[in-house]
Amino acid sequence: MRTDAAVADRNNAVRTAAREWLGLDAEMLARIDALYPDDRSRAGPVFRVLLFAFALLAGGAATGLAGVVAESPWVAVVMGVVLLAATELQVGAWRRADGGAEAATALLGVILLAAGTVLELEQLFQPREVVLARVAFALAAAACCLAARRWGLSFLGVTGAVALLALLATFPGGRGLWLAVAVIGAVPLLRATTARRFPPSHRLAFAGALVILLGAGYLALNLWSLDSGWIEEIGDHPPGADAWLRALAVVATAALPLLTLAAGIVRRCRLLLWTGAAMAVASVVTLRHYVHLGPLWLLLAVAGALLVALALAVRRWLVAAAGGERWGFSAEPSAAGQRLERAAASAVAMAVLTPEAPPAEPKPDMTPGGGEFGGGGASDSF
Amino acid sequence: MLAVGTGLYHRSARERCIRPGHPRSYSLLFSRPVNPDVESAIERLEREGVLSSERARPLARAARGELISLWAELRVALYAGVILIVTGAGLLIRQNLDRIGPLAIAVGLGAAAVGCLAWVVARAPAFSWGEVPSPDLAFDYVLLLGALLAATDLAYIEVKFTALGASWPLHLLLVAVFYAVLAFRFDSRVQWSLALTTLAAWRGVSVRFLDREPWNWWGDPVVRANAIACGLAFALVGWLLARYRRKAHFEPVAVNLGWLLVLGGLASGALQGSSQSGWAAFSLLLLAVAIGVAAVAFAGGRLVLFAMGCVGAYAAISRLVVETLHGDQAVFAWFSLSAIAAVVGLVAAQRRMKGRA
Repeated sequence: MRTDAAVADRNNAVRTAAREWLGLDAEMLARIDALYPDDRSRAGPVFRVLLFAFALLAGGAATGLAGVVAESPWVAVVMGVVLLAATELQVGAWRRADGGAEAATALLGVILLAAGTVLELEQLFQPREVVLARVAFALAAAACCLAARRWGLSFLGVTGAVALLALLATFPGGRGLWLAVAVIGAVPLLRATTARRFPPSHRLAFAGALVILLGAGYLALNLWSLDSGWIEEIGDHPPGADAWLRALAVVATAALPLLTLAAGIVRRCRLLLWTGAAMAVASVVTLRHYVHLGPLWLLLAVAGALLVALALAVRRWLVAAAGGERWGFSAEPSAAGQRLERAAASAVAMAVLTPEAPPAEPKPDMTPGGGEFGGGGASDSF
Repeated sequence: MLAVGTGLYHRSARERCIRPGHPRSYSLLFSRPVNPDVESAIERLEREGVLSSERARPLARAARGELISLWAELRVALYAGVILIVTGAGLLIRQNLDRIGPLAIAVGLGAAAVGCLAWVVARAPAFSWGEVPSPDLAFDYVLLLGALLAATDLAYIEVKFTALGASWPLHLLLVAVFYAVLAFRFDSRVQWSLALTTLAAWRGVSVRFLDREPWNWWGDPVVRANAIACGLAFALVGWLLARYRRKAHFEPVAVNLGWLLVLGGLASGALQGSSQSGWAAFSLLLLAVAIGVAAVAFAGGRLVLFAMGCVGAYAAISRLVVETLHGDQAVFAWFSLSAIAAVVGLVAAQRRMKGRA
């Protein structure tokens, strides 16, 4: 990452954190801003999304135009290079960061570069499909890593990790490779997420890659995934597992979420807590797939009730402690959490819990299987 | 960030676990700085007198990862729990309709809803037209659960016993009013959102965007008209709430949803095929309304509304321009140049808005 961009990135982290601290007045914030200057032009979330969308549209349409005009197989590669140069211009001379547009040009540039190279190779050498796929994924993974490193675009950590996993899945024994890369990569990435030598956006990129690798490791050992051969399907390899591997998968499906959650609690690491919770949900679904625990409605209702009870119990336990915290955990509201909740709760409610509208011509069907079960939000027709 | 003054300064797990001669032995298991830049900054700010020691101490603990708030995680768990319970209730009815019997289902759901709402009533603070903080972490979620179960029960009774006959969609109006009453009495933004979207559903306008393709939201002319009418009504209600300071904090939900419905309705008219009559009129109307929304939002610094206005205006202009273009080259050229112009315009607008703030 450019030195000036890295300094601005670190300073921006301090300025952002200061705005989350309760009880600071305008004068204090002004002093903090003076001590930690940020020379970048940054956009808030709304502008960032808009600029990302319009820049993506501009880049895509320009590529389409170049393709129609030039009719050359090199168009994708050339446009990829042009877009990556545009990213360098935005982050460098124009001093933009968190602006949306540079993320769009970088993403499109990486995709076009990888896709264009593969198209060229196909025309020149006509290699096997799997070789092309490997080249494309390898190029995409490498380009994402380089772009994330150069421009501090955190989301490229996720896309790079996904491309790497896709590459590994094309090889025989892809499942083992997924597991190996997760085991080898998890600890260094975990260290890197809090390492002082990296600027915040690099640490965020590492965090994104870590989540993807942990998920891949879990998927490699999940029993349902093993039996169904999901990873093998990506590389068009036949599924199959020895008895000992199945036994290991049974244990891992149960143990990995618990281990991840335990690590999250011990390290007080929110990233591991969320990843462990997601793994736990996946393991419960896997259990339900193999063992008939009871009717689905009962499982959902019981799981919901348990979740509510657990949340209330944890909250009560934390509040009852001296100073309102135990083991470094507190249930006190945070400014960031409240803002997120305000933004997300209504949107989720509207998208998920709103009843389905009746059809244009009302025609009630009173028999089971007919009308829509509106109003409740459960949205089950019966 | 955690409230200043939270708790005492306990010796951290990290400090306890450092063993002489093994300086890194704890590092993988126990917390290391989660935000080293902020941690360093807090030390500096304390040295420079910007932060007092009392204020800096809890902030530094949070930056070091020695203290984290689980508030958001607990809220998510409660929300997910409520959704699971309501979904389970829906499945129970569907799968056991014949076995349990209609009366048992109706009474069971009703009893559960009454139980939840009774708990809420017992805990609720006094009514106020202003913002009222929740008395309990579970308050909003038990309220949501009670409301959803009651609405499910009402829908079930309507479908099973056909109390409203041919006017059966009216039950959605009843549910919307019920939600709105709960929202105002117990000061729930989520309930208020559901009241508005349920009212829209009564008019045939589904806001469950996840269920359908964006280009097929409100294709029917009647539904489109209803969407626009609902949107205008919501925007008006939002304006009145803010104007007369009656739950003024509900205004953004009503206004944002209202203009989304209006612009979405106009866009669905503008984006219909060229063989359909009225697309040009819809496009011009969309352009005018979107520019108006964006201008007012720009003046008021309302980013979400401004974004909706910009997207609406761009869609309208593109619809009108593309109709006159011939060939792929012209279309690609239009979208690439116009999108670059949009990026430049948005960057300028962002700077103006930031400068004003």
